[in-house]
Amino acid sequence: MIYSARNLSIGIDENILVHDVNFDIEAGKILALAGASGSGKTLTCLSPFRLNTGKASGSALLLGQEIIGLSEQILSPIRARDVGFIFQQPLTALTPHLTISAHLIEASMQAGIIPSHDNLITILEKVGLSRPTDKLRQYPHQLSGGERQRICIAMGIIHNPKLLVADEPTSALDAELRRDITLLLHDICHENNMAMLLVSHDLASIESSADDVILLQNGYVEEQSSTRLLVQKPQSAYGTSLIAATPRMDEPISAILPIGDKLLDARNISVNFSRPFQFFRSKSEDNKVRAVRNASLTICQGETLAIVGGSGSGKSTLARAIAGLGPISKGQIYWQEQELPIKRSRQNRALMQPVFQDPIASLDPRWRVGDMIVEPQKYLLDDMSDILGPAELLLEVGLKTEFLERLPAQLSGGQAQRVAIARALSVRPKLLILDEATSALDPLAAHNIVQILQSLQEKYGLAILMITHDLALARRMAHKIGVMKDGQLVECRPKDQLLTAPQHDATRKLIENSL
Amino acid sequence: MMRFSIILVAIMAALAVFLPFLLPWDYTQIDWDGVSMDITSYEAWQRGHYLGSDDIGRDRLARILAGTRITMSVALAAALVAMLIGISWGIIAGWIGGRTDDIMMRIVDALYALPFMFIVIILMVVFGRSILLIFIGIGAVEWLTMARVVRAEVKAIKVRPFILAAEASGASSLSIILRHILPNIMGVAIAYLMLTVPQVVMVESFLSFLGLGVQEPMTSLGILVNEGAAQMEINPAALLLPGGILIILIISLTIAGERLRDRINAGNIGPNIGAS
Repeated sequence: MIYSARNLSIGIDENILVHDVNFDIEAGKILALAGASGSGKTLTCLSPFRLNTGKASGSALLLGQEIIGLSEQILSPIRARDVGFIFQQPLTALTPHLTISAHLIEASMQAGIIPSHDNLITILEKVGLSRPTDKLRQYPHQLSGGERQRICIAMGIIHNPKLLVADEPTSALDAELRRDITLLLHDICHENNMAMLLVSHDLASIESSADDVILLQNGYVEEQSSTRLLVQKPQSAYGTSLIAATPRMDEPISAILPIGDKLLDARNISVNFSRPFQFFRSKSEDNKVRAVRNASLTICQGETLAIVGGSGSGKSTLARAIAGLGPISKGQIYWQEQELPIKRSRQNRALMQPVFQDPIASLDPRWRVGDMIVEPQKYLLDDMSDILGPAELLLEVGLKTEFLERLPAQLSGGQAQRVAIARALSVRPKLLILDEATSALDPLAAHNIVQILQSLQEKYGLAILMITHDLALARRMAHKIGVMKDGQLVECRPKDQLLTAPQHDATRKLIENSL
Repeated sequence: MMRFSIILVAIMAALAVFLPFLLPWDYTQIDWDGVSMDITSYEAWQRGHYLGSDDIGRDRLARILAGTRITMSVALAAALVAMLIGISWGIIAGWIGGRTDDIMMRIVDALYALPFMFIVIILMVVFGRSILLIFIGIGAVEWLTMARVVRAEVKAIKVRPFILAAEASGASSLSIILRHILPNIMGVAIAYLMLTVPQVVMVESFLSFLGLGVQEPMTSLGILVNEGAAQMEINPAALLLPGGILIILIISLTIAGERLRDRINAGNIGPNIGAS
């Protein structure tokens, strides 16, 4: 047994935030702590090692030694020698002015080992980095996000720890990298016979790596079982709802609503950005970043079109161009066969309304909910006769009228996103444009938003253009799926066709990575 | 600490405004029979000069109160003018961005580079001494920092999603600025206004000390310090009293301003939503 906990409770000041957690991790096994934000996952994994403000009580045995109650001086060398840590933010976890080799040497010296050049090369190879000799001389900014996370992993395992503690190691990465890193962690644990404590809110990556799972809710253990059992047959109510809320690629395709006439027709949309800070500006094409190239799509009444792609594929830029909120270099957008001007009129804007990724940031922090959700009506509508008032709008998204007086800071992420949807609905749009509208939310809140959107679609025949990196979610919600890669919409077809017979490599890769 | 300094400043302001009504002497009035009376002398008390009188027989307490009043009002007015110019300049530069922003901010840089004292002295020499000129002189300098702060803040707010949401709501640039940007920069602007006031107090006193400030018989803390410095060997109170008030005023205002700024900055970090 590498690491085990008995009746582990964690408090900050006088409040107990995590109650009675028990677990054992054997060598070569991975235990995942899952749950929504604020459920106490990070406290549970870091507090016994005195790495945050939480105070642990109960018992935590590392290689048979009790670590709770040890003073910092005694604990510090144990922590440095036997435990490796990987944190959430690969983009900020590295010091910008140190080379990769300096990072690795420093990490190793903490455990009292001075590594040779060959050691460094071996460790980089182990985390799957190509050209390790070059990498050692490079600086963090020369590496991509995925490569940086691999460096962080290398720093965590360079001293051959017995236990690896990974706190949300993949949540800052996009779907493709997420899967690669998860598999890498899994392989490293098995090959080196390391035990791993993984913290994640992403059930998909837990499923593909962890042996056992602990589900935490508000600091209590809701369910503790093997991963396979949890996914197939969750025992607790929380586990059941969590599994149901998480879209899966192998779930049956739900019945989709019928669609109506064609509303929007975007033809050959291109968006170019000129590169910044260039002394000699030329007008040539290769001097521009071509964020979107010749994308064409149509959306009908009551239809959901999902655009799926990795980060930087241009999907958000395309959505903004269609919404009239971002630049557009070439192409036309038709609404019921009439061309929309580049500068949208008020009537044009009322037709389609956006909902953004970060729900709280998309609400003005100084406005009350009640004022906020009717703001578009004031600007966009001429005919104010049969509009919905603020209270009715809140009802549409399942919020009570007491929320009218709240400020954005007093809302949870899910509530804030519902307010944002209510604001978009206030002008009776025909098309909602959702830019990663659920990806900042935890699974249950995200599922709730999805259900609200589906019921609104059924009620009003809303068309939805959704941008997402999550193919499983697109599969659950959409009629049609479009795949974007490097600014090109490589494929855009009804979802069953696209998923069963992908025609493009990018689509195939996406499907493979989402399983 | 912040509350204490604000209360202190409020008490000083109230005294400077209301106490003169209770005094037997006006700050311009000359008592021919009580010239250069010492603060400790019984005779001064009897004649109603509670802090003595100056070398031409004017009541020292009345003059200190008048000086505090002038200094504070000049400071407040000049800071308000600076805030008005600074906020407008900063919002225009930050909102429009691009080349306009470049040009407007280079103008700010150029003004920063000018030797301020030199310019004020030339203005004073050419146009003569007047309160209005002091306003203009001080205001012309103090708005620069405000413009920079506001512009940076506007640039940061401009890219937040709620501005994009307002744009999608069909709000015009003007209503976005008035309804969404201005309320969100007001906290920072007011904090910097609080920090500008003590700076202006300082500049005004300095100009007055040099003899470039308000004109006799009006007075300000700077003039009183100057007069006191001339006779500090025989009558230290003439220097220490206005000097002490000046110091307390500047320190209290600075502390209040900095605390306010820290509080607003801390609030701006905002709620941390979920791990995404």
